[in-house]
Amino acid sequence: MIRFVARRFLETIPVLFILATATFFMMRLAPGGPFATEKQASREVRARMEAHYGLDKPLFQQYLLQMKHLLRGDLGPSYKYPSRTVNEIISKAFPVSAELGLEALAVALVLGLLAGMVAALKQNTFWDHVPMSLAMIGLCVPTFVMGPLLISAFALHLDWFNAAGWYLPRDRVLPALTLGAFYAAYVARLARGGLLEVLRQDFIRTAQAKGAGPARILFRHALRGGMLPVVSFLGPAIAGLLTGSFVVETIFGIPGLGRFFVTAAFNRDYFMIMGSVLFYAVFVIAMNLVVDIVLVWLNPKLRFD
Amino acid sequence: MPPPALHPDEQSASFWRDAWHRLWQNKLVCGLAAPLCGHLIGYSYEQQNLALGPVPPNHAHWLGTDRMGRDLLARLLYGGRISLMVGLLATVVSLVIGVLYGAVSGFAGGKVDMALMRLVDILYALPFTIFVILLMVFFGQNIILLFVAIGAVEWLTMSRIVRGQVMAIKQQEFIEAARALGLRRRRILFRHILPNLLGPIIVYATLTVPEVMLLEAFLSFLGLGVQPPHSSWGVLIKEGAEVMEEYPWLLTSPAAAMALTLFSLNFLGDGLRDALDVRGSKD
Repeated sequence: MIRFVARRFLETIPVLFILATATFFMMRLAPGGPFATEKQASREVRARMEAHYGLDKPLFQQYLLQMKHLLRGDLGPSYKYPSRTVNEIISKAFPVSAELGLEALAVALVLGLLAGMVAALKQNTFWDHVPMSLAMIGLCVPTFVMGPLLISAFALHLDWFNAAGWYLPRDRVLPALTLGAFYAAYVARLARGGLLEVLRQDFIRTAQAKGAGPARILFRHALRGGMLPVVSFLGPAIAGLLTGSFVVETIFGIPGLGRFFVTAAFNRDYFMIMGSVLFYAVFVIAMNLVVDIVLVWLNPKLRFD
Repeated sequence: MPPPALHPDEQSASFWRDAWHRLWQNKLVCGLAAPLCGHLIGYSYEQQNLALGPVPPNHAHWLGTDRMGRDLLARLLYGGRISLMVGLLATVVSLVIGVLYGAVSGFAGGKVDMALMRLVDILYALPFTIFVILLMVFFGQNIILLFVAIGAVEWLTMSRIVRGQVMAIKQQEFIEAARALGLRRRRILFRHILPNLLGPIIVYATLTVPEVMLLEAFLSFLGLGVQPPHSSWGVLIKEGAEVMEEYPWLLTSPAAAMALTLFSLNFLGDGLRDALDVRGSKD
């Protein structure tokens, strides 16, 4: 297993290198620039700004410079927020996004696994149809509809929560629900499918024949195999959840990372874009590694290779 | 459980009949047909009536009007046409790329396969929303670019599925027979292998359409999707969500239309998956 992890680490290096290179040239070859949109800036000011950030140098030289900084772990300055570096922005906003992401993940796992297990055990009954219909709704309602609807119902009409803000513990409830709903729906469907697949197998019948009760069969025998699809899905899903959601953060006014990702693209904030792409990529790669390890642990048929 | 295997033709016919039956069972056809008759309403999607302003649903405007006095039903039908067009065309783009890529990778095998699949792994690590946003911001909000960009990021799963299936099928005897007959590789791939993959391809294409439509809605939320005066369901939902408290009808009908369409597409995909007995390598 140590060899497996070590090899994956080594493989990550060229992947990140290619990603950084591709991102760099895609950003630079596109029309426009970070200071092209600022109308009030005169040509002289713009030239000075570009010189300050090294944007007047030949492209390839800029590329080498950027790579040198990245190797040192320095993501560079932000054009949009000149007083802060990209590292500072990410390290300040990431904990907020990560907290929201973890809470949404908890919502997704609790609701999703519960619904999936009930539906699989009571297949083709009322207890299957209702949770699965709800899950389908969860998949079909966009986040930016779900958010306003929850605000309208629970904040404006019932007045249980604040409509926006990120101060009190209860301010976490609505954003976590909004963000987690889609994932809960997905988890429910995957858990149901995975469990049904396992419950059909011979070793479950053997367990039943030996007199194991439904709870023991579910938790002791079926759950391990039935969770495989859920685990595969959770890898990229967790990476997405923890690195922030633009929509939820905008609707609820949360100072998270998702907003920086998107505004960076709008502002052509080159270093910020590069920083977010690499940050996200590292997350996805790490989560995929964790998932592969968990899958081997869950499924005795698999081996590290 | 499938019945005992009959004559192969008969079995496949019942597969398709079953699938067809499911297609009629859900209301997809209505959802697809409705946007096509947009000009029957008598209002245009861009015809403003500022004096009228936003009015709730009534007998002249069945779904009400928006803040500029535009008939919501007309905008909804027009927007549906755009949303479905984006959904379908982007899916076609992703289908073409994914199927060709996966088929070539699986059929070639060896080093080619390894290189191609490594590239897919790398692309999986890319933050796709950022990628699409970058494309839309940098190259302007053009509808052709919209579905090319979406299609270009949605083909990865398809290519993996197709590759896996091609690798399984190319081991079978009839492919060996085709080889022994001296058929060229391209002919084997396109005439003998790919037709056997229609089931999984159709199923995942069906499930890609709702995904693409959600992505379009998200881009519209960012203001990067379809530009005014044109509309799409994403645009309408976004506008509706902004004035949800004052004019709730502007949110309810676009959201309902979108949710119902995604609903039927997802059901269609699930139904087809069961009918064609496609094992989910995605789930």
